[in-house]
Amino acid sequence: MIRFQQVSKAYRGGRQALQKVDFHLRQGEMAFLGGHSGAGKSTLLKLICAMERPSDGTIQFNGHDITKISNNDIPLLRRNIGIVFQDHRLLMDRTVFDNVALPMRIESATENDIKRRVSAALDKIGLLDKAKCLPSQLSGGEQQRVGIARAVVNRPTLVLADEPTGNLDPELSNRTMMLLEEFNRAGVSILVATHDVGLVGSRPQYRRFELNQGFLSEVEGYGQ
Amino acid sequence: MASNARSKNKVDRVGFLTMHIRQAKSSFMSLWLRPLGNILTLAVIAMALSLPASVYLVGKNIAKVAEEVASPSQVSAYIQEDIAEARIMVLKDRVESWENVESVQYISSQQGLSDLSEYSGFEQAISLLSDYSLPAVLVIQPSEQNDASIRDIAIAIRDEQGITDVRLDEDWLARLDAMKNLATTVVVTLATLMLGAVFLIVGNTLRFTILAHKEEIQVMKLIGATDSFILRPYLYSGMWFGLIGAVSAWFLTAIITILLNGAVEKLSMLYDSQFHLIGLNWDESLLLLMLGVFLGFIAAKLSARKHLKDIEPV
Repeated sequence: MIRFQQVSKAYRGGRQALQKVDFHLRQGEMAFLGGHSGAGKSTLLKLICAMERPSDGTIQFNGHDITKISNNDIPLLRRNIGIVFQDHRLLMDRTVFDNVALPMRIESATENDIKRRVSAALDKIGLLDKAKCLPSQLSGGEQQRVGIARAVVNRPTLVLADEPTGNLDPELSNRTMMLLEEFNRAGVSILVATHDVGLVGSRPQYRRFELNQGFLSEVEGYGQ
Repeated sequence: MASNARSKNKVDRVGFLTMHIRQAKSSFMSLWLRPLGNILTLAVIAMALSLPASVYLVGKNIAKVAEEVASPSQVSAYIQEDIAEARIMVLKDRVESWENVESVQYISSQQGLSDLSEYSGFEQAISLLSDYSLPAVLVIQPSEQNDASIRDIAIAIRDEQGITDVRLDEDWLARLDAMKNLATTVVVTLATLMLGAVFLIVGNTLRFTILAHKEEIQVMKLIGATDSFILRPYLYSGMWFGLIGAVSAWFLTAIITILLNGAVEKLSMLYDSQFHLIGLNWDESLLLLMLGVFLGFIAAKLSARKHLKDIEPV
């Protein structure tokens, strides 16, 4: 699915965000990516969706080398990746339905198809009755779930979640994580960057990576 | 079974045309999300477009007047008073047989007087003139409209007996031509300036729109929208601006023409002329609309593409 080989990333000014990172996330796997803020979690996610390019090493996505992906191919890569943001990044002037429909509109889907898939996604997150609401009329947890629906609506092969529970209380965090697990059971690979140790600790069945000052290590005892 | 599996993972796509119609429609609708600002922009575009259109109409009407006044270049030969009509007719026939002469028209002094009396206000003046105070004229139409052949005819006719004076109207035509050239230059310059203004207005409006949608564009880029997909609504906005602006400009020009026509008709009536102002015809109207759309599109394309490039997801 995604394979990092000796990937380093140095920002301009010399700050070394990632150093010789090696890992392989397989198809249908779910994994957590931990580490302090500033340890390079965001950088790693940005490399996967080609928002940044590595200084060294190779990154493979579904067997394709995306290290030197051309600008024209970046949109096609991102259509295979659903991204969940900490601040959900919904468009505030559009309804919940239109927000979730956005990835499908981009792929110029038919209105019928859009209606069917968006309704299914909203049903799954339990917000079908709020389809016509604006995001500002929803609670924080609900907004985050809409963000997740938008990330999965066009059935990506991989979902990246950057601190998806960062702004939520433990109860909501747990529900959000269960939602992601549900999509993982449907066969989507999921990589969750989080510093919420409690959340990760209660789920030993998933692999767990730790970033520390740009170095990546896999934590023993997880993902068995 | 296979198609079922396919439909599960693949998206049903709409056609290219449907997608464009959809985006054109939504761009049109989004113009009315900020009605006041957009109406002001449209008003500026309409006025900027109607100015060159009006100036063009002024030029077109002047050209029409000039056409009515100026017959093609000809040579007028004035004949001595005491020459018998029969000799004049012989002269006329001879001149007509010249190679470079198309036709010769004889205007007797009587004829000249009655022509003159057709112009209003001259009747009383004519009654003061004696019968023979206007000389008879041979109006010679050259077969080729160029200075050399007109001058040849003038030299040849001057040598004929009984001719007192020869007049060419080419001097006056040259002046008229120069005036027309000046008018054309003024129209072109003004039009260029105003079209430049339209271009800048559309470009600047879209720049603001794009900056206002910065976050949306970042999100769109992150979920896999191509640049051309993000660009397209802005191109349609530019085209709508151009089209609606051009339609409004057309109406403005029509209103100006109708308003001025009354005054012009009154003036031309005083000159005993049947002159009417002419407005934009179908071709020119279509050209105005196309120009508006084209300008809007190009301005949108240049401005939006430049600013979209600057917006990258972070």
